[in-house]
Amino acid sequence: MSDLTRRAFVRSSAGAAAGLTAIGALGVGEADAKPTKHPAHKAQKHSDSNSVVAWLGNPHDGRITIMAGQHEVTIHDHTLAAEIARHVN
Amino acid sequence: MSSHREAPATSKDPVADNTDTYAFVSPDKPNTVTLIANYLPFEAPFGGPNFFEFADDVTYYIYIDNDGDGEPNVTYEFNFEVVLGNPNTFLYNTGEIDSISSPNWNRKQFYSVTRTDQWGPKVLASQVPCPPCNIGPFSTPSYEALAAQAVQTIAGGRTVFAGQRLEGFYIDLGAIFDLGDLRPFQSLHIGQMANAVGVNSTSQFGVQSIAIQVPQSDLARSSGWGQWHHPDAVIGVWAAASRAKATIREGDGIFGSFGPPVQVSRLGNPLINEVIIPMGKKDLWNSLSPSSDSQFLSYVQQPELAGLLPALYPGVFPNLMGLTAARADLVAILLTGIPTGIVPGFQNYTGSTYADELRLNLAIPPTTKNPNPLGVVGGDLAGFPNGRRVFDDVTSIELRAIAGLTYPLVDKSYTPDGAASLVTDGLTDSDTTYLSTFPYLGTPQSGYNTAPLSAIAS
Repeated sequence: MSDLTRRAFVRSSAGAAAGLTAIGALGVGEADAKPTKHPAHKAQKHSDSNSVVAWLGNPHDGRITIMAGQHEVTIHDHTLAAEIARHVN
Repeated sequence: MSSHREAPATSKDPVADNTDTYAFVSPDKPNTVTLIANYLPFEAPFGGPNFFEFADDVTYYIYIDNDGDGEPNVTYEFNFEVVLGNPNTFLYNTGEIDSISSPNWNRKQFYSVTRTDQWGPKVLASQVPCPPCNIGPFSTPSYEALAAQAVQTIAGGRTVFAGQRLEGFYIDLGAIFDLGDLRPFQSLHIGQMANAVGVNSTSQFGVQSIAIQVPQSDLARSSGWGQWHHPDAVIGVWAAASRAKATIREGDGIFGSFGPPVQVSRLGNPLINEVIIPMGKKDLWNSLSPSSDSQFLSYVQQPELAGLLPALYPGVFPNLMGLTAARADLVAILLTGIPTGIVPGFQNYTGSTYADELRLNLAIPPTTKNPNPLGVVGGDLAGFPNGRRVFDDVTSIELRAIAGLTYPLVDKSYTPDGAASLVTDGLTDSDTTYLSTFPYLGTPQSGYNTAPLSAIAS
């Protein structure tokens, strides 16, 4: 590629890049026309912030760890642990 | 490596893999200390379109122990959040990124800084911007100035930066992991090849770096830190990363994190989990606080590498081969600090608790003229193992220490082998580049300007 052609190409690429920005803005509609906070991580996370996870490390010792958000509590309930385990065994 | 891919679990979780930790009195601002924690090893600069960033679901920490018990007294916590400008394009940027707030940069990342001490947590800053990665001359033509915009002053006279940097740690991994080969001495290796110059395996790679510069008073236990011989002059430093205890993947790209943070990576002294801790205990080691390190004492007292050197280099380390006593020198350097009276004008002793921490004496002034990358063993008291500067040659220092160079510190009757003061992988701090000011690690290379790895004839 000659220097002249390369310079022309760079100029046209710069124009294309600027155009790409405009196309992006046009393509996503009025609501998204300006950059908005859109936390990708939160968008992918569980939609219900009230979700709860229960974990039985050993179904036979009755210990159940319950987690919500960054918190956890551990309860001891042999009956409940056995009941949960029964459904998956 | 210092701690790149050093454990089975972290090798599969690079965004949480703490690769290097640094702590030093700032050479250009000696009334401050700079703390740096790096993550995500071997960032190939052209690694798009999803260029490198911190993980939103990892919490990053830099810990300070100022009373010698192996538990943190001061914690700096960093939490990141990606902000996507336009979810309907595959592009990282849609034009030149001429500022860190440029609308052309589609995938920005911000973070918060929280400091916790005896009085509890305090958010020092939030929505602090990271810089983009260095992409190339069309996207990031003025990268150095662009990245400098991410150096931010926050509460209390502190300065922070979090983003991509050029890897500052240099090491010949290709040789060392090939049965302990050191190219400058490989004619003496059992494999017997002609000697060669070292090859920096981390050259041109990037890394995600978190750096914070704080006044000494932010870290020290008391005002006694101003006297080098005062116990409160010494702080212990390590970094870590944690993930939520449970992750639920529901499909359709939906997941959730639940429960308290659980530590998955940590790093104080370089190379400890890499070459001291055995494979079967590396993940355990990563999960613990330094206060638990007494269980790993035997691996420091009798390092596997000290036994391998005489076997791999027959006849080169006869005195090391005969050294069967527990390595009290390595225990001091790595787990307790060096007491007063061993090295003139220096101590970084934190007490009898065995804890892997970088130990920095805050009262030792920085060496601003011709600092020696060999640190204390090179006569430069401002370098490793007095904390760790970005350019310190920790590979050569630790190789020489393990080879017996430092054993006379605890047993003057021992004569190190001649090779102990020479052993090296053949690299120096000139094998990468640094900045003279915060954040000190060099400007990352752009993807456009990076050629793929090349082959070397054996």
